[in-house]
Amino acid sequence: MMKKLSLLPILLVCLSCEPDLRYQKILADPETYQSAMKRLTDIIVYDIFSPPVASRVYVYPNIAAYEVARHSSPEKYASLSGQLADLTETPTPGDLVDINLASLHAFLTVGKALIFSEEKIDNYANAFYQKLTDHGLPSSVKSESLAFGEQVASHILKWTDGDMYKQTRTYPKYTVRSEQAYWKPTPPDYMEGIEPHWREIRTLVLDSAEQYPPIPPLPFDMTSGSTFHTQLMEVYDIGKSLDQEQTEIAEFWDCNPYVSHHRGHAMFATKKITPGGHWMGITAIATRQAESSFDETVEAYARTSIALFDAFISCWDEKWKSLMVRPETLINEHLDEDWLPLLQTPPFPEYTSGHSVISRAAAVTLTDIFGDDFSFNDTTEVEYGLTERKFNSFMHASEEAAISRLYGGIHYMMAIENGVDQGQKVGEHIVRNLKTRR
Amino acid sequence: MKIYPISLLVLVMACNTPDQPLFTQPQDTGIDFQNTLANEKGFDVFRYRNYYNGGGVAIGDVNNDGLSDVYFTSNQESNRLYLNKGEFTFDDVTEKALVAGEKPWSTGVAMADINGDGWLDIYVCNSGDPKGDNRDNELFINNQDETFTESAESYGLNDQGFSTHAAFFDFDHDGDLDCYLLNNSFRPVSSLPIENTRDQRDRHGGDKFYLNDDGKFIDVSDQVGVFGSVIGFGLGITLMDINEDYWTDIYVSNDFFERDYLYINQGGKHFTEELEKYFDQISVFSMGADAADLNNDGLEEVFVTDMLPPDYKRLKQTTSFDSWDLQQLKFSRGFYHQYMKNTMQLNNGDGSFSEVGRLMGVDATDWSWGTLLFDMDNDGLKDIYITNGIYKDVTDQDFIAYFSSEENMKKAKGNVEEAFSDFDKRMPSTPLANYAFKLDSIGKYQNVADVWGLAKPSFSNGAAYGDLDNDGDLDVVVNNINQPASVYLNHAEEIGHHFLRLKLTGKDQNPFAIGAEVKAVVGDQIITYHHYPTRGFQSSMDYVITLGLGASEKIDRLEIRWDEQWVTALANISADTTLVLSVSDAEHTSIRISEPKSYFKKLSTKITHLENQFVDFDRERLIYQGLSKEGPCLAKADLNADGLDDFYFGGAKNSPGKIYLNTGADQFVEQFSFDGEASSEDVDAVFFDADADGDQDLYVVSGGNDSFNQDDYLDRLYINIGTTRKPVFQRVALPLPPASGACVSPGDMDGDGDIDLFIGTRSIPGKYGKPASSYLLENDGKGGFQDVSGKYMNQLSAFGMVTDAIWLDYDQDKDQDLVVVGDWMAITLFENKGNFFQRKFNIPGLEDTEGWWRSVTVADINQDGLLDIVAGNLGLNSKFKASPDQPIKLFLGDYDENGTQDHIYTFYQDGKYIPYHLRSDLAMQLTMIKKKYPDFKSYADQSISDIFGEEMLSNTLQLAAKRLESMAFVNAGNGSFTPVVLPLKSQVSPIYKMATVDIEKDGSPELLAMGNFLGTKPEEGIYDANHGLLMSVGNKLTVIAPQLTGLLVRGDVRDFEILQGKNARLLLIGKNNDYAEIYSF
Repeated sequence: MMKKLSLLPILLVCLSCEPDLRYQKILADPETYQSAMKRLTDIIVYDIFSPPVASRVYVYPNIAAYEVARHSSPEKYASLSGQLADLTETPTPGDLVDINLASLHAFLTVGKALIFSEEKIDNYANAFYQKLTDHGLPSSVKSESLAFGEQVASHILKWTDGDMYKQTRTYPKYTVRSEQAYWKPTPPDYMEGIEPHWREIRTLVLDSAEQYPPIPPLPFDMTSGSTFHTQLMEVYDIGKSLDQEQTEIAEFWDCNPYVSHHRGHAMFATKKITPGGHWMGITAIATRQAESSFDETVEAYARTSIALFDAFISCWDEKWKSLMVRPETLINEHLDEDWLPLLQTPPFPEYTSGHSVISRAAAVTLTDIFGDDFSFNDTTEVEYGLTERKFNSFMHASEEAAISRLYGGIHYMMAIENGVDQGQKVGEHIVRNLKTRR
Repeated sequence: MKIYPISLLVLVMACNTPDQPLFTQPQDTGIDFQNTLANEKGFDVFRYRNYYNGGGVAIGDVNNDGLSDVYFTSNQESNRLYLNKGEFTFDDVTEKALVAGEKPWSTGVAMADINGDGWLDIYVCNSGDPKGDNRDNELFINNQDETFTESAESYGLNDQGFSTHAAFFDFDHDGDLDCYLLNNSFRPVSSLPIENTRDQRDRHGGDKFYLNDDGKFIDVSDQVGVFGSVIGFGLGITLMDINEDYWTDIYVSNDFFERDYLYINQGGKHFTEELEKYFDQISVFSMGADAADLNNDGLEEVFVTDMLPPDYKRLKQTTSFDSWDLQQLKFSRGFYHQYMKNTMQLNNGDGSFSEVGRLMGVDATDWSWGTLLFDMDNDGLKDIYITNGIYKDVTDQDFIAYFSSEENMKKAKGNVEEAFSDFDKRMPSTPLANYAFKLDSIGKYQNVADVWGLAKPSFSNGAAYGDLDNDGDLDVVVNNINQPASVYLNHAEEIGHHFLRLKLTGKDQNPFAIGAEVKAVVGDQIITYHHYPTRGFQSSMDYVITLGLGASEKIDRLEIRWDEQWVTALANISADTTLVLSVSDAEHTSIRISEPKSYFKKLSTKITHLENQFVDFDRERLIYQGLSKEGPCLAKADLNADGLDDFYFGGAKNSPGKIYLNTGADQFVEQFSFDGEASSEDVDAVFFDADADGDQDLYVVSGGNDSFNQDDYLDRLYINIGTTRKPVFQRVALPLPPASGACVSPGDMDGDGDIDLFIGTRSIPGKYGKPASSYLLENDGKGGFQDVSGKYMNQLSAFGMVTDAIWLDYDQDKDQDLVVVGDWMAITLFENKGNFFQRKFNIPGLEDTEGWWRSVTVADINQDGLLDIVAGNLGLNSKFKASPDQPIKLFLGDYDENGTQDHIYTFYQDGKYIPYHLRSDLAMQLTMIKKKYPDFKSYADQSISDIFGEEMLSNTLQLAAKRLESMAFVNAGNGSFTPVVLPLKSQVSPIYKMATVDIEKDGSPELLAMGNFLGTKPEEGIYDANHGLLMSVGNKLTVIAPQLTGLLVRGDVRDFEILQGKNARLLLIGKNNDYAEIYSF
């Protein structure tokens, strides 16, 4: 089959004077964009980005792609400039530009700037452009399109540069506090807390990181019978009596990009997608199932990744303000020295649950796009050795993502319930205030 | 400026004939043993932690024919016994002797006469098959006819732990041998949180102590107090007598996070674990260890191996260090001060040890399994032999990254065998040369393995020494993985060095006299050997004792201590012979307890310095030494006119400084607390009469790195407005901006009779390395001060990181000149020119002195009537090394243009400056590193120019350190100085304070030096080896032996003062975050 296909173009070029337009079919196919997104996800997994940083690596390439793709139907799509903080008007394309090609190029260019393993993007892009050339892409269209993609990418990257990411790299590390109530690094690696200054990152649609704070966590109280203690015991007890379904749910939503393992002096990590990556995967499933066009696909990714990005900032703001200690720390210290949560405790404070906040914000966004009555089969984690799960709505999936953290032994119920509320508010705000349609 | 004498290395080489090294490997010895590891199905390093730990070697005469035989343990094949047939040839008699062993995975071996019949038996530790079963240890009882009978069960020694090694000795002096058995934990390290469960015995395993009850070994671990928890990953047992009470003590080296143990034998009744009492810091991944007297002072040192690579390229490829937080967590949970490096514990003779591995040059020998301390060339001093190499670099960071990639984790989930076999193939295999360290003429160790013929790259585990050809020197046998065992013939007899061979006969069930101590006095040297043949890594040494005597043809005095009751003493023994000595000829003796006279006597005090919690490295990620732990400071004066000195004790941030008065009975009570200024960190203070009213006023310098309130960095002048009997202090304004200070140096700079002040500034908080401005304050005679820096000393603006300063008249022109020292600063001299101070750049003897200076004082150290400069530096017991030719450079620049300065510390190598920082640490601060260097290999050898390019470097601030040794600069009287490095023993730690004091009041003063520094990152390690050093001055500075001074000050000393007390002089010592100490003398 492959062989036959590859022979065909030569024959066609030889026999016909008609222009070879097969590249247009490739470029019109939303799978082309899906494939580039998948590539980005793979590199994010390979390079190991923490969940908040990964949400940043997702959002800017998708915004860049959208700012190009919107020109395919200018009457239908609105620019994000003026809607996202500090984003000035993005360039407009010339006549020869193939919008989808430029959109992909903008996506890959911005993506390459944000990941580490640049050659993985280069290899992908080069192979892809070669394929288009082989399928008749005229060099003028190619150069004009790439140039425009480049132009939008550089506009977006310049804007990206002002988001405080660079500055926060050298902000102080969190200094561990000895008081019991406060977060401490957790086994097995006792890694330092991730991104204690993420609240300084520029929000895109939210006014500020603290626009939708959750209600405060329960007062720390280790007296038996206190609400806090009861919730701690709930984590411990449920962890000891997980049924198969609960275990499956916890593992399905683990989404920990860096789980470390030790073998004597050797240490290695297993890598997985982040919580944000999982929702990018759900976006892929939804757009395919809805048979979205190329531009609609880009739009869905852009909107969902923006919701995830702001939701992470909102959540991280709370995490590094309340500095809530993880259940594992307290259980090891007070109840059971040998207790291990089902999932490895991720390296940042407990309250609120990141997965609860961001899953709900993403679900609210996807519901706005695809409707509430949207059942799907979530296969995102299959390639990481996990099962697939069925959901009858995005909200349903987000509920399960939230409760999975209790089963996983890494969150108290308060962080889940209040995290879902927080995500709901962030998601609704973004749906209200970000308009992609004219 | 030549300071070092030529190393002895040249002489060592000269001793050997050019074509023959000290050791050769004869062919056709008949020893064809090889510890072969074939990848068995389901059994590899991923599933068995100790897969590459290898086997051991035992040397001993099992057939009593006068020739020592050799036994090897094998992991996957049978163990082997080779009988010595003379002429350095051996016969494999394994099958006939029935000592092959039936259990898989043999590890340690001990030869000992367990049934006391005069014939050596063989005890073999086993770790079992892939499933972890079938691992009973085996005891081969000597049938006295070159055959053996396996009898472990009937002796009760068929322990089923993951045994590493066993040591036999007479614990309770009842005449038979008891057994310490070292068992590695069954638990995977990954399943253990870093919890201290040391005192919870693992019912299935753990270290054990067996008491010999008439031929039956009984587990008495709990009764005698031996730990046996799941966190014990023991790799070495070292027998010694650390407290010299003639009862055997035990040092146990533990791998991974558990700390080592030191068991003190309490008269044969039980053990007490006292490691922290004796040692300041230890190795973290402790493997093999040995104890022996390395400097012939009659006191045993302890040497422990770890896995630190010596070169940075390999370090960056294979190593990661604990973070500060993890180190603190481990310390808080009782895991003490552990650092990744070999540790050499130098016996101070006062019950304390100083860790001097880096000073001595023996800290980094890569993945080192075992060490043996013995006299390899018979020159009379013991050398250090180290076996190293791991067959697969399991910590190779790129391999780990490969291993961790998603495809491979999937692979591992699928076909495990195929995946692990693929991983195994991809792990680099780097054979390493073993080490042989010999003392050079300046008292450091040099690796002479190559010169001695011992440097063939290998994967070496256990090793043993013994005189295999009865020629009076020690031959060496090494057990290698996947390579033939190395059998080294020693040619020391050919280089004119003399020896004494000893065979000891003990009594009862200990006919080989295990535990006896031999001391041979040769001139001023005491050559000591402690007869514990089980030593090193999984191995057992020859029972015939061989002592090297160097050029000496006789021994002045030979003493054998058989136990606490029996001694044999002989005089004038001729060399080059074999003596057979028996306890039955010994004399009964009682232990003499002599309290040596000492100068200092410790008094009790509860005065405490409490450091506030702040981690400099949390804010400035790449710096190596914090600036926030520089207190307490002390200042003394008689504040109530009773003729006795009182003092100010500075507080850290959030603790007030306080005034303490002498009650009249050399007790001190708090008289006043400066609560209003508690938020300032006090780093220096001085009493002086600012306003010429006859009483003592107080100046306190505020410093630190941790305050965000500028007012906290304001210095304070307190004018004494009280009465003669009762001081009252009132703060007055100073014309100084807030600055994180370091020192105040009072002196009359203009000869007008009042006291002016130099104020040294250490840093700009949060901006390490950026030069700060220091100040000169002129006194108007009434206590009013004016900033005259610009007028008299205009170079003080953006001057540097000052730590200390002192006034002296260096050119004898009757005015006060100023010497200033600091971090990244040269010894800087300002000459008083009458109406200004000229900074002198070219004073002979002070060139190229940029260092990490901590203190400066003046003293006439050569007693020629001229004051010399004595300056305390970082010292030489550090991973940091610098010289004028090969300086350390700090490049300070904003490489990623994000508004923050990044600190890149580099060392000089082959014309390039190479960063010290590991890839992950640099990448955390500079994300671009991950983009530019996708793997560890590409980063490992990169210089700073390679990384950033010359152009970017041209925009950086570059600071250099060229000397790290504490030094004296002897005033030649002609405007020049002669640099002198302070004695090696004073280079063990940073020196924060020095002062001369005439201890004996004999007119000949001593120099007292104290310091240490704990505010470092784990990869650098802490400096704690200075326990209070006293040096006699004169022609040459000489460190006075610690056991003579009575001074044993452990901890982070910042300052001391000599006070006049009621009954004696008092030495007051201030330690960071610790109790103060007071000694009378």
